[in-house]
Amino acid sequence: MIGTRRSAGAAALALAAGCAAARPTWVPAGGTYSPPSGRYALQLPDGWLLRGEADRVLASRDGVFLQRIDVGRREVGKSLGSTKKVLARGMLPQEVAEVVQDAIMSSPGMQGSTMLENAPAEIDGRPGFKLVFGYKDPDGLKVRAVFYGVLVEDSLYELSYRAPERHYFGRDLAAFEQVRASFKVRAPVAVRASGAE
Amino acid sequence: MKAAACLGAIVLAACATTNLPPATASGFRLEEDERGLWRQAEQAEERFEAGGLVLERPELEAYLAEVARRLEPEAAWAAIPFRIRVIKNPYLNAFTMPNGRIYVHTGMLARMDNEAQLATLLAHEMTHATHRHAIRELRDRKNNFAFAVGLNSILPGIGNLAGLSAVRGYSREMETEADDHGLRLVADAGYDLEEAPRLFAHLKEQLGEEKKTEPFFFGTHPALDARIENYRSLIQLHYASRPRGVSNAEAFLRRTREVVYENAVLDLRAGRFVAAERGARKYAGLDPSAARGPFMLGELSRQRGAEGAADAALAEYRRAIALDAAYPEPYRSIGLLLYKRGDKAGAREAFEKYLSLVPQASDRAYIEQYIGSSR
Repeated sequence: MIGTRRSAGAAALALAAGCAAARPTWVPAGGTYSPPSGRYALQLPDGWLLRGEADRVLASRDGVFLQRIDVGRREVGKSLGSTKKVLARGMLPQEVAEVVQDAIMSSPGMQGSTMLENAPAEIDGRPGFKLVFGYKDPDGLKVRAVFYGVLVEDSLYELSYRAPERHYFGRDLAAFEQVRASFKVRAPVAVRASGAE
Repeated sequence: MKAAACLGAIVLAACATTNLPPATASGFRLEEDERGLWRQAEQAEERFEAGGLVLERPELEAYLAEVARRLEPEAAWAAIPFRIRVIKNPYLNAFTMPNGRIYVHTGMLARMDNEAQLATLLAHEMTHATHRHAIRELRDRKNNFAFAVGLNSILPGIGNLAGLSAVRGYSREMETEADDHGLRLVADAGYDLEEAPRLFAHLKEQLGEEKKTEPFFFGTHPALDARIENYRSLIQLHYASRPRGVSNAEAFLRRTREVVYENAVLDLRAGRFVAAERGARKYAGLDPSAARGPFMLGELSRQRGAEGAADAALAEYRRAIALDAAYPEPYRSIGLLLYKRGDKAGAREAFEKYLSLVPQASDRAYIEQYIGSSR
């Protein structure tokens, strides 16, 4: 009976996750949040909205064109899209930063972007990196972005923030830094569940 | 009968002529809808500029304009204010706006061998503008749309297909027209025509490397094999008895040498290792005294990370240092390789040398961490 309930509960969760993946909706943020995969947890500021899907979270206060925080996970060895380079286990943070930087600067329309900072950074107490770069969107609007990344075993965890350089970037940067400070890597849901049993 | 008359009226009312004289004909004036296209081209141009995608190299642009001026007479320049600009993009491509702005990718410039190939490309592009292909194609599409609307009112579902195939056909005709007329311009300017098909052979090679089956150069261009064959036939048919002409390889390579390097950097960023290596080797050959050539070859090996790559990379870095002991980047890369190998003393020495050469290095914080953990 318990087993059946568990299965039903797991099925309901899977269904809910499936629905969320098919049609993620914006919900109010605030407090601790963990995405459906359960791979990490973070604190999002009150008054923001979030959209979670599998391993990824998107948050914004006034709309994604005015400011957005993206958090997610990528598996090493998989394509980063615009560069054929891939991440590998055991890479130094600077090497990971180099590949991420190349992926950003090879993206369509980003060949004119400027890398302003590439420095070591701590994420969840682990050695990672921080990139700060600027670019102009197709309408010529100056945008600034910060990208934090950390390689943990076979996963790159990434947190980024971008906003128009004028007014918005500076205004919400502190909120993003708090999100970054609250970020914690967690074991995936399935692993934790089987471990508990 | 009534329906047929109605269809005729719809089609006639909507159709505008696609049979326009070239811009070089006397009495050339922009048509109203063509003026709109030029305005759109100007807006697109502003976006390219704003996005920082254009390579700002006035001397290079002056050289490209100098070659273009040899191709078209002053009358063409009076009608179309040509300007050739270079876009930071490693893929082999070039395109023309109706107002005469020609954009050539760094990838295209870096891959060409000589001025005759450049002239072939520019002549082709300039013909698109002088022969008003943009407005002709737009009108053609609109006419086909009007035709399709009319046909759909009687035979729903068939009209769109008929219209689509006609549009595609016209595009191929215009590309062929640009090839034919462009080749005449190249011949009149005294260039070696044997170089024309070689330009397209480069494109074909890239398709092979990228494992692409469809030619993407200009999207609707005739297939590259057919195109290369067409060039050869044209040369045989019209220019067989003509003296060989010049290729101006030396001048071209001297003027485009820096683009070869910058494009190799773009290829390396995109992880296109084969293309990046070809570019790096070409650059190293063009300027054997520059430390940047062997350094980039070293970076290629290091970032590819294949068997024996670290040793190959170290050898290239040492070659770069032998050429220029004050060039900092190879020291950092040597440090990284030795650090990962566990040679802490060797890594520390290389990192310290790097920081002594560039105390304000943007990655100083990383390097200091490595030095700290190597003590």
